Amino acid sequence: MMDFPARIVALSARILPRGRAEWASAMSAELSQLAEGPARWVFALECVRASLSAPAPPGRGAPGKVVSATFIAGIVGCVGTWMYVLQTWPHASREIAPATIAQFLPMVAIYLWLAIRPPEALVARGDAVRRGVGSGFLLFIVITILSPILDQVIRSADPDTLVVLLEMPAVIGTFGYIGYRLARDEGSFGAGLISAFWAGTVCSILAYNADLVTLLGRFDLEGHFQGVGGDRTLVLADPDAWLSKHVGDHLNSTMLSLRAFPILALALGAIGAGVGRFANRRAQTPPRGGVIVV
Amino acid sequence: MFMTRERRPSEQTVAVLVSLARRPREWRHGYELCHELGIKAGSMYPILMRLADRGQLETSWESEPAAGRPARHLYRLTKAGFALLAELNAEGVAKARLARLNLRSDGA
Repeated sequence: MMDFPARIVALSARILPRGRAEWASAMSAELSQLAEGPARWVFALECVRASLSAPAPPGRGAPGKVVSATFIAGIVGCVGTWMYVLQTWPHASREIAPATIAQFLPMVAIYLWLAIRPPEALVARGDAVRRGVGSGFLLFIVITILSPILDQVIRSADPDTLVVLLEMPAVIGTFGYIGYRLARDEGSFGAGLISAFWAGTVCSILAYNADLVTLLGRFDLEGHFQGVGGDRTLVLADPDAWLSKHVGDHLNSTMLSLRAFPILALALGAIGAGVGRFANRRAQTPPRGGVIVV
Repeated sequence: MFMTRERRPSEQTVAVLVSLARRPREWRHGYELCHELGIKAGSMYPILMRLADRGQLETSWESEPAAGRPARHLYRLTKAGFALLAELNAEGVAKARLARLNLRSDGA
C-alpha cells in the first residue's frame, strides 16, 4: 500500500505536462530509495514543485502567446484599477463586500495560472483552444462594443431590452455553439467543453475590465456622475461618502462579469458539446436495415 | 540580421553540468545530484528536463535495479553538454557562477 509521500509523488505525476511520463517514473523510483522520514516527505513535496514548474516538451503544451497576453493584460488591468480605486476613494474599501474579495482574489489567481501554466488537459487540443479564445474575443466585442451602438439605435427606456435582444442570445449562442461545433467536428465532448471554457474565461477577464473602466469612469471627486443619459451634477452634503458608497457598490456589482461568464460557458458549453457529440455519432452510424437500389 | 542565442544557464544548471562532467562516463541519479549540490528536487528535475530537451543530457534506466525496487533514472552529459560547459568555461561563466555557489570547477 502506498504511503502519503508515494501518493503525493503519484499526484505530482498527474500535474506533469503530457510527454513527461518518464520523469514521473524517475521521481517515483528515486522516492522508493528513501527510507521513511522527513527526507521522504521533503522529496515528495519537491516533486510537486518540480511538476508544477516542469517545462512542456518542445513544441507542446504552451497556452499560446495570445492567450497568455490576454490574461496577463486583463489581470494587470483589473488589479491596477482596484489599486487606483482604493487609493482614490479609500473609504470605498468599507463598502466592498467580503464576498467580492473572496471571489476576486481566487479568480485572479486562476487566471494567472491559465496565463502562465494551464493544465495540460486544457491546452492539449490546439484547435479547441484557438477557436474558444476567438469566440471569447468575438463575444466580448459584441457585448461591449456593439451593445452601446445598438442602444443608441433603439433608444429604449428599459435597460433590460438590450440584454434580452442582444446580450443573452449572444452569450447563449456563442457558448452553446462553440461547444456543439467542436464536439461535432472532433467527435469529443471534452473538446467542446474545453473550447467553451476558453471562450468563457477570455470573455470574462475582458468584460470585467471593460465594466470596471466604464463604471468607474463615470465618477470623479467633484461629485459628477456621468450617467448613460448625460451629465448630471449632484448637490451632495458629503460627496466623498456618496462616491465611496457608489464606487464600492460598483466593485461589488461588476464581479458578476468575472464569475458569470465562465459558469455560463461551462453550463451552456456542456449542453452544446453533448448535442455535438450526439450529432457526430449519428453522422458516423451507418443506416440500418435499408436496401440501396442502384 | 539578428543572431539568436539561448539564454545563459542558471548557476544551478552550471553546477549540474560541472558535477556531471567531473565523472563523464558515470551514470548519475537525480537524488544523488540533489544531495551533492544542495539543489532541491523541485529545481533539479526541471533543470534535467531542459538539458535533456536540448540534447545536452543523456538519460537511461538502471539495468539491474535493487530487488523489489523500480529502476532508477540515470543521467550523464552528451557531447553537446560538454560543449556547452566548455563554452561557459571559456567565457568565465562557469567559474564565476560556481564561485558564488562555493563549488570547485577543477574537474570540469
